[in-house]
Amino acid sequence: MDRIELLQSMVEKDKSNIQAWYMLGEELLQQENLREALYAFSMALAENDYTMEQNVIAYLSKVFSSLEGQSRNTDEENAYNLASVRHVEDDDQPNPDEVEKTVELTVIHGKKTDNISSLKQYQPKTVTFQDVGGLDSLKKTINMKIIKPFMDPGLFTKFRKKTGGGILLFGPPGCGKTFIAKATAGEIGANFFPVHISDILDPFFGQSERNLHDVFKTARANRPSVLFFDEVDTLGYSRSKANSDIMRPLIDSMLTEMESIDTGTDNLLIIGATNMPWDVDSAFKRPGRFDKLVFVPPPDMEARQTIFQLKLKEKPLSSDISLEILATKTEYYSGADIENVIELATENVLTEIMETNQERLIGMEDLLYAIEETIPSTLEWLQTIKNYIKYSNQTGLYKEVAKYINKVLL
Amino acid sequence: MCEEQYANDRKMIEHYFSMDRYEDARPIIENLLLSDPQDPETLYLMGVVYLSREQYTEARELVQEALRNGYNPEYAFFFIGLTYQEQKMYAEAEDAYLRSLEINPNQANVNAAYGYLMLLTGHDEKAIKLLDEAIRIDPDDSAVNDYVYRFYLAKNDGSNQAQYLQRTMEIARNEQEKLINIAVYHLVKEDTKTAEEYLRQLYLLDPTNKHVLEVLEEINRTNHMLFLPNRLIDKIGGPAVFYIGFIILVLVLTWADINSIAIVILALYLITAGYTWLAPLLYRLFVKGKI
Repeated sequence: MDRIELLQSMVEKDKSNIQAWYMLGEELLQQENLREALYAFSMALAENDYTMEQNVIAYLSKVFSSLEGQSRNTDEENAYNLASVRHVEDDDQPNPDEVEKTVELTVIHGKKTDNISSLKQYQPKTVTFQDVGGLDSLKKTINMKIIKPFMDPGLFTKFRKKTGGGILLFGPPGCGKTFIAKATAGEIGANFFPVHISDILDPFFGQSERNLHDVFKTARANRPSVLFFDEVDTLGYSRSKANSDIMRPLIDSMLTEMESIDTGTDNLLIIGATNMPWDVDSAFKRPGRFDKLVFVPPPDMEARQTIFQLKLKEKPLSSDISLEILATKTEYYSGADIENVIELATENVLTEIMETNQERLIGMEDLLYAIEETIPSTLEWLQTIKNYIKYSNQTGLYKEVAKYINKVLL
Repeated sequence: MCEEQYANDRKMIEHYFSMDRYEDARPIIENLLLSDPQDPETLYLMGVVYLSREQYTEARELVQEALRNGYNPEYAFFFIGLTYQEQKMYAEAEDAYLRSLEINPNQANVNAAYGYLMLLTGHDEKAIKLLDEAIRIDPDDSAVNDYVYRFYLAKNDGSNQAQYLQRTMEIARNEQEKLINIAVYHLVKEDTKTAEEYLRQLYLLDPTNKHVLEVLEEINRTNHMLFLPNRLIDKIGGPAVFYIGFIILVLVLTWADINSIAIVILALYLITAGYTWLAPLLYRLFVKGKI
């Protein structure tokens, strides 16, 4: 006997059992039997129970808002599929895998299983390394460590080189770890699924683990895919440091999920990002999990120029703006810091315009003044990691950072 | 705000608090306060955030507001007492602890905090009575055992120090607590080498902890080869003894008419004195900050 039949027999026996009516309504709605579901909900409300009324309202608003969201996404998804088709057509020699990808992408329409619809931030816009200015050495590292093994596992198998495992991007805040992860997904033509701790954590016992499992299930259902765990330190926080054991089951689940992935066959890549790599439980840094640590440094000269160019694009600028000078003057500034500089300069100009009633454009002087008024937020992070390396040089995990710091700071 | 959202937010806050990331929890608490500015639980949580920022007056005001709105007075007065104690307003702290104990005298952590306050104010007998009471109420509370351990450290009671160090190691909530206690134990014993190793491990667990870094750097500095002459001078009684010893030695040699040796001693003294002056500069230039 299935659940609906069971509930139906319960309400037949006792028509005043509002709990059973409510659960029946939920089940029917999940089966998309809207008419009968609404009948069951109205029966659940027949007793004028205030708590029940609140439950029904909350549940229905949740379901209908997610349905609205799905219908809004339909157009975007179609556009994405078309873009993928075009991408295949543009290619000189269409790769059969890519044709398959397009077919698989259409499967996304079938988001019918409620428990895998929690990834609301699915973003159809593809970003590639071409959209990332500068950071050539980082792109090369990612290409060698991530993209090539993922795209061509055969070569690595031939040389008995193990592929798979996740990648942990770490670096100062605001330096584009998320963007790099998105671009990596774009480079390998995979779907990008960003996940934050708030998408996983649930106050009910066992639900967080189930949410995590559903996230992996969703990524597998939409492969090839990149599952991106932002601020992974909050999800995989070091167990030896935690003040309570409440996160232990979730960390264990995450480790199990990661171990069950075979990149070669699953077409699923796990990328984590963190500003605090020292807070990530050491179990995550073992082979088969986040075994490749990639340092995302503050933007280099070229990257800073690109960021200035992009962020200043819509602003009314005078002709004396030199991106090169701006980039030179903003060493160690993160992307977020540069955005802050531009915002500050804009605010200053607006204040002046309001005070003098004379409109003018944003000039080089305004931007240089804003740079003088700000300090890069990455310095504190770099100082911390410098001290960290000083006292933890045995592992060699942070060789790249040590090299960077020796090059730029000393 | 619906109950489900509220429960989710509370879970996130609890999670950030368990990682000592109070600033990360702050936006969520602010959001909760926007929807219900009078909620005593949320006001208390914001008080905890301010306490972590060492803004004690603001933290206290928030918890007083929470208290007025119906927050549990036992916990609220304990919190208020802690803020006063941090600001060295000991009479007010005592008053707050007493009010908390008046409501419920069986609070191990309040008894222990009050006992520690008595230690700070020089009332040792009362301090040990309160700490004993705290241990009686909850012998497995890590905070309570920490207070007792600190009491014996302050009193330089070796056997009890070792006993409570062992106890805190057994019941510590996390690795950091264990490392702090064991490092402090060795620092008090002036075993800086061992203390340094534990502090190093502690720092690796939390490189954002500036206090640990300061102590570690100080130990590194004093133990560095460059400071060997400084350490030797300290061992023989400090710069004053070294200076007086040198004058006596030169005078004796001059009196004995051994001028050539007196000149050598004088040169050695000048070199050593000059070097001890220059050592911190050399350390800063060539050692500090290098990785």
